[in-house]
Amino acid sequence: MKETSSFFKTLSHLRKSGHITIFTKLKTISAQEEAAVIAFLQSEFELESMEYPGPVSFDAASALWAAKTVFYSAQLLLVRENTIKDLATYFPEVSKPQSLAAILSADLSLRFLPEILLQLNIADSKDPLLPVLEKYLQQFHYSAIGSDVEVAVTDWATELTEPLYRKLYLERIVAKKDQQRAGIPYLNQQLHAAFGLYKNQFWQALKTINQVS
Amino acid sequence: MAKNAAISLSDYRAELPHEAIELLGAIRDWNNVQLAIEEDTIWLKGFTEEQAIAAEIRQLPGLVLYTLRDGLLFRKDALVPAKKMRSALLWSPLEKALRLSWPSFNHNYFGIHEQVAVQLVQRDEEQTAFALSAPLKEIRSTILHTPKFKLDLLQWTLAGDRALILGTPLLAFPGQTYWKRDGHLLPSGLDFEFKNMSPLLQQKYNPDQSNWLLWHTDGSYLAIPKTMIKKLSLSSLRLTENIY
Repeated sequence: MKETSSFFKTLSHLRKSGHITIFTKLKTISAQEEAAVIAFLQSEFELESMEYPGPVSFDAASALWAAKTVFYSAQLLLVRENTIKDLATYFPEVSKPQSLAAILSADLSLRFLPEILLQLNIADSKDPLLPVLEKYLQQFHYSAIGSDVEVAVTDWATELTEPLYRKLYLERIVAKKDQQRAGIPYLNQQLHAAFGLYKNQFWQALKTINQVS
Repeated sequence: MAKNAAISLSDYRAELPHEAIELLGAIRDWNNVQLAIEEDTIWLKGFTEEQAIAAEIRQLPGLVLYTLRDGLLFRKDALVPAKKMRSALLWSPLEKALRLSWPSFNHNYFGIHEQVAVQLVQRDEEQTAFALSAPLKEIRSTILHTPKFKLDLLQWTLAGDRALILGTPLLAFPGQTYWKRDGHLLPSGLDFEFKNMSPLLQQKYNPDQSNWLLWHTDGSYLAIPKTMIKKLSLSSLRLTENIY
């Protein structure tokens, strides 16, 4: 009987219970494992997209990249033998996500990255891995809501033009009670508009920021 | 002048035969009047000027009204006293002296098969809307665009093709709203014709409190099991639509 792959097991365990398994050796991922993980993430995505107001397609490449990133960065929490030189192969440069599908597909696993980042930071704040992961989270800042990673977005109105994305973004901010994001004037205004009269019932601690015109 | 002023502030005493005690019910609510009982007469005191000439007092049979001066009782406009006032009487307020008792149960009452129709009537008291019913087709797209944190506070179920949404703050959808009373959901602005029927109806139709009773304006109701009510979310909405 064939043993289930460690990559698949880690990812499904992470998604189901929020725990992560760290192995003794950094393992490479075979094409077969990748296919299994993509299939798993796709089914997870379909379940989650039930909660989305409109249809969003699944971006397999983006989801796989995010899964690999989370897997490797978690392994690197402990396994640091001869890893620095290969850092670029494990963590390739990525460009800013173009589509909502890419953002949401990557978020399936990338939402766990801020927690790993925090642990890495506790272990060694000068780790060369940290800026790499931080850069990822700046680009996929939807997954970074609730963490301390700074966002480099200047024009939020154009960043969140898509109504579906804006809705999910605001919902995530409320769910994580991210005061930092909620303090951004544009988002603050949007949140207040969404809460209406019942602001205190939804988020009493939310501060009101007056937009400078 | 001084004499007249003294008369206007006179201290009234009334004497009544003991048999008339039942008739004092008419003035039982005069809580300034006090009562004392001698062997076969009843004494009343503490009347105000208006009460002394009121019809309720004058119609009591056998009543003699005196004014009291220096311990002597004078009849109305009399110059010589009629008798001396007895001292050492135990005065007590009317409502304490005249105790109320309930009539005993009427075993010969044959009206127990009479029935009362449940009716809803307009009431002006303002109530918070707790539930809302609207055709699912009409509100579907609005629900899809409502932020999740608003839906999280609500629950819903499907009754026919109408969605029934429960919870506060309710969403601002067009539809019939309901308010909550003892496990009843009553249309906004309406209440039971007899308010005390509310717990009785619960005992009869919902003894274990496992249902919501949703009332229609015509006085009929729909029992909705609480187990059928689910948290409102987009996935719940979509999965429900797939079934029906």
